[in-house]
Amino acid sequence: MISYFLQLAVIAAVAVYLYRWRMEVRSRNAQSWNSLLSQLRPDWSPRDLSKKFLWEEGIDATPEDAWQRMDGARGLWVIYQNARVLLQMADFAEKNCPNPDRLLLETLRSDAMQIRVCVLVALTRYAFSHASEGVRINAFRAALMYTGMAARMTQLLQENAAIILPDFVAAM
Amino acid sequence: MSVESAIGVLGALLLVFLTVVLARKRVYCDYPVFFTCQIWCLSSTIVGLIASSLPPDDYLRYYVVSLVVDALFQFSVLAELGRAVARHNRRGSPRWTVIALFLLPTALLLHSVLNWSTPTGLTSFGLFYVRLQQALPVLLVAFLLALIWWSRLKGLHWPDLPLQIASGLGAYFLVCLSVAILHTHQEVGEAYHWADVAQSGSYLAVLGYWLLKLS
Repeated sequence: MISYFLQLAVIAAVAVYLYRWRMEVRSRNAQSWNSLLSQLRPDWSPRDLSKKFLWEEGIDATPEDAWQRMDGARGLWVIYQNARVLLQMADFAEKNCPNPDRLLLETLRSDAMQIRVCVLVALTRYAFSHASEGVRINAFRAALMYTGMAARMTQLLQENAAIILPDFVAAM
Repeated sequence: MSVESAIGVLGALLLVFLTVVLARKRVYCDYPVFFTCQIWCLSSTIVGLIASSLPPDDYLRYYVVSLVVDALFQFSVLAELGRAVARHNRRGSPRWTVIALFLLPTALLLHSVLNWSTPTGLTSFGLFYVRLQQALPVLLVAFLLALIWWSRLKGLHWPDLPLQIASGLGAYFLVCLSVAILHTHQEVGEAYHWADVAQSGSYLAVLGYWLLKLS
């Protein structure tokens, strides 16, 4: 009897997995530029860290200053989530734009991976040692990479979807 | 008219409508195997309705052959979906060694979890049929899961049509697997037979789903 319920549990688990995968794919297929822009977190912007945010990579602050201006872990989490959305935007551009710059797309994918790893390391260290120097340096690196990713995304949109560039700038 | 014949006639009608819809949308250009599979299903349904008047042993032989051909078509359709997804994402076709590496442990895992027992009093051919009925859904579910995992690993997008085909096939494979599990806890009889009828009914639901989505 137990093996019978185990078998049914396996079938149910596979069914749930297939259903969730299908919902995820349908949701991605239904994406639009506007739906992606609406997923960007508006509660903090790296404009506090750089006057040329979105146009150039770089931060006009020291690691200590940057940590204060990004409101610590909150800013890191915004960077983490927005990096995921920017990655989805790169995927969307690849799918929907004619001849997008492939090197730029691969760089954006690499940026997203590095930013997310850096943020996770920073947040983990923050959980154990609060705002130590190592945490602030990791946060600074993540924010720096994020400004680079945002500038590359601006370049991608300028080349392929200029019409939504003003909305992107406003959302960021 | 018996329930089985009614399901057969309804299935044939749905397959005719589906084939017409697929032909009008020129699905045969991009998905020739899927299109051919529907024509095969229509032919085998019509032949099955005619063959249902044969003696049980002869009908069983016909049914086993059609079951094997069905499974070969379903594997081929899944492979076609994999190629279509790779093509849509401008990537090379799936590396079949990667798929096989996923498929083998998945099939072993599924099989190790399931307790395969068979009804008593079967002929050797009947036993072969029951084993086939148990093994094929496991392999088909494993292959579908392997394709999905490969596409998730590569971050590939599934266009609407392959997603709809995979959804229908996935639902049907799970029903077949559930019926196979149910049969391991049944003896041959009325309940055994109605489980098979329910399985056929589920394929009608899949055909209806495809008609709804594609028309």
